[in-house]
Amino acid sequence: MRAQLLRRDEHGFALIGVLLMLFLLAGLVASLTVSGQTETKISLNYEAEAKARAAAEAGINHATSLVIDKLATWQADGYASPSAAINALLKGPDGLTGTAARDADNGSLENLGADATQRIPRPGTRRQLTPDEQYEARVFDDDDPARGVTLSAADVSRISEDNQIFNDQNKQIVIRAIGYGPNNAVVTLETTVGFGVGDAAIIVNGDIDIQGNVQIQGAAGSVHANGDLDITGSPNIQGDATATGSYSTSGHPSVGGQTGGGFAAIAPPNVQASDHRAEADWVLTSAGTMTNSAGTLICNSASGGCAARGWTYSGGTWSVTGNGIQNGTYYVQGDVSITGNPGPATVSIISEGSIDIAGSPRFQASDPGLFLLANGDIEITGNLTQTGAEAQILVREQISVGGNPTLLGQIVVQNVPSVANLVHANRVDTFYGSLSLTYSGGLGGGSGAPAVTGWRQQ
Amino acid sequence: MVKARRPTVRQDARPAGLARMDGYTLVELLLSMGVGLVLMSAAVFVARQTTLASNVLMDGSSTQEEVQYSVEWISSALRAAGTNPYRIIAGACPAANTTFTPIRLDPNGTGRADNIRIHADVNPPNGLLGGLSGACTEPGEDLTIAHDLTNLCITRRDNNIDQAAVPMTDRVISSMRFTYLNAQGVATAIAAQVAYVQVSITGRTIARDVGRGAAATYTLTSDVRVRLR
Repeated sequence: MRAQLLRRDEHGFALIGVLLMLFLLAGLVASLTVSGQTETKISLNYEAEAKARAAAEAGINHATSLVIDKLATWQADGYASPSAAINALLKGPDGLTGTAARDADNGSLENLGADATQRIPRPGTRRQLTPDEQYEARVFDDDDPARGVTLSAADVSRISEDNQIFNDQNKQIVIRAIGYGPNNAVVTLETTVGFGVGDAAIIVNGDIDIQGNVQIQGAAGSVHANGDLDITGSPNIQGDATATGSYSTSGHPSVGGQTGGGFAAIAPPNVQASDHRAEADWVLTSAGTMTNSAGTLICNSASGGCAARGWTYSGGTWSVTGNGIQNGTYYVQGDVSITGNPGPATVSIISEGSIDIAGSPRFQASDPGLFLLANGDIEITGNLTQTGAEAQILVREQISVGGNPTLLGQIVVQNVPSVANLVHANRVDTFYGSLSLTYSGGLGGGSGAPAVTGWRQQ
Repeated sequence: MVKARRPTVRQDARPAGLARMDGYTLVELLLSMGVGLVLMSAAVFVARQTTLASNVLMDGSSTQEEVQYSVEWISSALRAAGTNPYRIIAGACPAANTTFTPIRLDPNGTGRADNIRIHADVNPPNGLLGGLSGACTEPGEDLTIAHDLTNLCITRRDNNIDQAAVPMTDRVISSMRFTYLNAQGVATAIAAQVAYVQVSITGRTIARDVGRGAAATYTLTSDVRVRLR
């Protein structure tokens, strides 16, 4: 009987061994399968998140581009201020708020963009990119709680807002894009576009050399170069001296604010004389005649008829050589040369060419906020004295300011490649001698052109 | 007379039940034990190798995930660098007169490009860098990201919130490097020209690769566009 029991025990050994091995292998296979499935799910999640991010990026880039293009033309579009243009965007195409129907298009960008097929639909409607990638985008005032940011009363005050979500106060607008991917993946991105950047006395979209005893004063008495900034001698700059490129000094300059290179570039406005054609009281034509804004002939330089108004014309250049000049805003179809001592007078000059001032004129701006504008270069070497309200000097190509001028306002240089020959062609804008420039800020909508000032992922 | 069948000696000597117990000779027994041993050894070896391979795979996978995750969150932080919609020049956090500096390489002064400091007015965007003096409570606005060579991990320190650097990964990160790139994607040492920051992170497995006898390494490199440059 005992022997029979022993024999039965031996019969189970192989089966148990095989079963153990099978269990072991099954465990390994199960482990690898679970691991593989987890890896697959992780990869799918990464892919879904990447697709949602790509969609959000597409949306934010598209919407930001549309908003900047729209705000850049706030004057040409007839708005009284950048904030008025922003308010129009906040209220949407119908310009109305207050009821559900009116609010349906608030913040909508649906009417922006030249190509109707490429527009962004109104909030709540997604723009389809691929079958599993979509985005939606809209704008908010930066103190609007609906954007997903909670600001305290102190915060709202600090950013110069008013808790009125359709009333911009600080020339800043927030753009939000939500990207959707597969598996309910969602990514939300936000940019801030504002006019408040770079409100400095001198902004050059290139290199700047400041030499001698230049004085730059005022609450916005700062200098910024989108290229390199080189300061030598003993200039006195009350505010910041910053550059997007390199920053270098020698001598004993005094800078009251921040200094250095590597600062964000400031987008320059597009300086174009023809944009300001409607502001002119008088037009000095390339035919040597002066007309009023309606095109009525006032005088002809060929017969010396314009000399009484201070102007002569020769070889494409309108010149002031005497001590008198008629008040008003001039639109000049050519170059301008001032070598006399005209003034005091209320004069602004908008030139399709260059402006060369070597005398000692005494002017205050006739065109509110705009003193001089040139599609070419501006060179000031004399003792120009600007009085009255602060105004801008806008230059499409290059500028050189020396001598002993006294200027009030802001100098903005787009610094496009040189065509005019008045100022050196190496595209370095120079300020030297004893220039005195005072700027309190706020001209040109704050800085001239809207630009992206902030970016974040919610 | 019927002659009775004479039983054989063997039949007579052992009961029928016991007669079936013999049959394995010593040679057979040794041989079967040897074969069994070889088979068992092979099975154990295969199981062990399979387990090791599985562990190496899992370890490698885990290391890759750590590297990928690190690149993701570091890239996210870098993209926001320099966000400053309300023109902060200097803040009161974490110390008075902290100059707003979008990106600073090697803030820890190690001489290596494995640590970076990022400023961004993002949480919330309110014209403050980290908060008010004595109330530096706005997270994510002043970050230092660094490689901890001793503990082989990446650390993140919110300079306004954290008392010390916080490990963000397992101890598998063997190196991390930040490289400034200009708009053309060429390396530059000039902060002003930075358009992209290249992040390169290498992870090293804890387990050794059976085939190579050494830990496997995985390197992930990503060029992150700095949004406001």
